[in-house]
Amino acid sequence: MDRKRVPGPELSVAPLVEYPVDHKRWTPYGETRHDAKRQPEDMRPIYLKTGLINQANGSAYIELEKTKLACGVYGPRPIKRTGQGFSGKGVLNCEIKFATFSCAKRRSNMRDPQEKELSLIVTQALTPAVRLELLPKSAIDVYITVLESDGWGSCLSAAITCASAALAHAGIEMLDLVAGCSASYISNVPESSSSSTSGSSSIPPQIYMDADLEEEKYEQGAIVLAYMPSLNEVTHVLQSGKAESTTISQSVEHCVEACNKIYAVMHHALLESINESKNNSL
Amino acid sequence: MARLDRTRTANQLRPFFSSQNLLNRADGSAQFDFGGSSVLCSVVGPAEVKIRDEKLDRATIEVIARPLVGLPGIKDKSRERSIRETLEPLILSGLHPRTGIQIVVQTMKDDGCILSTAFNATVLALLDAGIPLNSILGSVTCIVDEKSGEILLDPTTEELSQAKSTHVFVFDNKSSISTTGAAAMDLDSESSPILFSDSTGLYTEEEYFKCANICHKAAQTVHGFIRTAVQKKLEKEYQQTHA
Amino acid sequence: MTSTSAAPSPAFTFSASTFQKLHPAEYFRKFISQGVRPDGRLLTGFRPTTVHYGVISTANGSAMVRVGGTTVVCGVKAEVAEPRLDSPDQGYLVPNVDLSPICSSAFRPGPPSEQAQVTSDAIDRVLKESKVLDLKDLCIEEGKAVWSLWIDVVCVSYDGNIYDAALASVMAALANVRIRKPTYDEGIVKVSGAQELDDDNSFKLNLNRTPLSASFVLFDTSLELLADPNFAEESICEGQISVTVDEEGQICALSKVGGGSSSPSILKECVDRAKERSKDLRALMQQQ
Repeated sequence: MDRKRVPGPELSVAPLVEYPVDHKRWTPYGETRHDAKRQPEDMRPIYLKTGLINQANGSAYIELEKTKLACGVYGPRPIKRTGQGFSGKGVLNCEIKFATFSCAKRRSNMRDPQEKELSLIVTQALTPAVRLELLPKSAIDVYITVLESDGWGSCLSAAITCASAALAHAGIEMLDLVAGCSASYISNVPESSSSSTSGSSSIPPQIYMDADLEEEKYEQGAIVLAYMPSLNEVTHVLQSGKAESTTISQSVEHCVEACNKIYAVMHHALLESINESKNNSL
Repeated sequence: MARLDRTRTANQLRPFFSSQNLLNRADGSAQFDFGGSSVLCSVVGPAEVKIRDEKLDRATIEVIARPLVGLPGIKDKSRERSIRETLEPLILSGLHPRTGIQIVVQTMKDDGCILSTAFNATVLALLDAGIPLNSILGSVTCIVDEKSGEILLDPTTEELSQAKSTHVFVFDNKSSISTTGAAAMDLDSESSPILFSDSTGLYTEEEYFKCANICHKAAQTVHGFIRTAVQKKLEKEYQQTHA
Repeated sequence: MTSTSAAPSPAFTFSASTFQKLHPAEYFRKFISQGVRPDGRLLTGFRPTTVHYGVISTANGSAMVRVGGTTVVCGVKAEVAEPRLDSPDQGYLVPNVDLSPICSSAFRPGPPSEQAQVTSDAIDRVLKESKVLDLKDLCIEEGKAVWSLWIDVVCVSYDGNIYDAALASVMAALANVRIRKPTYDEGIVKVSGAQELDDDNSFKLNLNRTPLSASFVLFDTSLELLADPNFAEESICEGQISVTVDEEGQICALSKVGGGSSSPSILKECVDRAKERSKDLRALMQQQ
């Protein structure tokens, strides 16, 4: 039991949801995506703003419709653990935390394996971009709080984008901004009908950019790409599930394209925050 | 109206009891009882302090509150903070820079008013440890009864469950010393400075200040009691050393 | 603040920002003696406040409150739990405040800090002791199943006065809560999954009152009252006074911690100002 919080019931569960008979659930077999306005290659509109946390050295807030994340950067500050001796390079330390109310099911306050995994991925995606060799004996702490999550792929890619914007806002020297983008492979044909024809491999799955939670339920595989647009370099690829190599290379191309668009948004947000701080100081 | 225990009037406190210097490994210790409630407090210090907590110009005060049973929870954390922040201006911590004073407050018996009992036990333990203070404090709890709307001093657990609102007050004895001549004056609501106050429930502003006033009067008895307790202890010590 | 580079001059001079870093208390005192605060507010001034409802769609009720630089998001999630044996028809209200390291460098990763615990406890006491909600409203089937409302406050940006912001967000989120009407059938609680929520398939909470608070700090010897302290003011000042009042002007909680004795007239002033402030805040919350 957690003694450092107001105690609640030991066990509580979400109620069982009973859908009415006429309830229509979205499937990928129809004409449209879950969000009917989007084409397969469209991302959700991004809202990105830097500098909302005034105690942090740098901060950013990102919103892709329902996916909402905030990120705060603290540092460079002296490294806490002194036991490991001198280190010529700085340490980048990213931590993702899901708010308890951020998902359909209530999450616990404890750090769970998924949070640890996502934290590691964000760290790996950002480290190549940050010039840590300039910051000996110091650590940069990047804290990301997920306020609302709508699919893990978009959540992870938003975390990467948001964290790199916050790092830039903190004035930490980087080689380039890192934009994150996700894509899901979703078959447009119901499984039963595809197997009756000539095997599932003949019809390549549709690539849905920036899939949301409903769409992810049907995905065969997904890719999350972290990319430095102006250097044209990839910092991290996470491919999961089954897909042919052509599908993968195609989706990487799609993601790179989308990252370039995200880059423009990040650029704009950073410029805006500079202009704002200029106006405030005048 | 008779109270639940049928022996007290509305603004009568339960019998006090205190004993100092109970623990021989601590620098100072005291037990304070309000009827069926009892709190034991130990003080260690001024002693070495962790470098992380060290303050360059004064002593670091640490309070640890322990519940009657089980492990401490957030209620105890609130209690720790209340006691610590109230004592900080009281203790002349500037005399012992870069040291630590650790105060442990252990509930021994619980029959309501634990926070008040803890405050009184703490000040006795600090006096026992010889920590310099700029004044002493006295704490009293009162409730406004749900049914009768009457203000009852020093409630028991049973009375607390029927309270509309609960009020804990702490007063120092500065005001009563400086104006001993005009005793009537300092019982006036305008001149009873409140050191600590914590109230919950539902109540009006008027009720609150009425409670403050009644508790202030009751706190004078606590101050007097602490005074005699210390006096007696010193007399005893004097006799022992000079016998 | 305006920060100019120190001009080379024979006398020993600092820029304003250097002075602030070296002698924060003295810097502050200079402002207070002129009756203003470093951020331009008067001593009695509260920071601009905004309230947004329903910001989190995965929660049953949610609200975001900003008080100056302090931003908190509160989400309420309703789950089904077994009631306590001694209160078989009462649900649970579980408010918790999370001061995660994202919001300020003052907080470290790990279990909740003392401040988070004290704030959670204060909100818990206000909700329960002043009977904001009848816990019997949360009963599904007596002795078998009740709603447990997990009220979680996440602080996104910390700039002082967390109690006021957190309490306001909790009350706003509770007012925003909509729970699907449950049916109890042999140990299983079911809710309808209909898309649109209306009064037929869901219910709102029946709040008895909306307690809102105003906090003040006492600035050292002069005992000046500063309303709605920010982070810097909180770390310089010692005494804290928080007054929580409901819409009828009844006090729900009052705490005065630390900072030496203060006369009842100061507390009276706090109560009066808290009444005014909560009225303004309440008007702001009802606008939307």
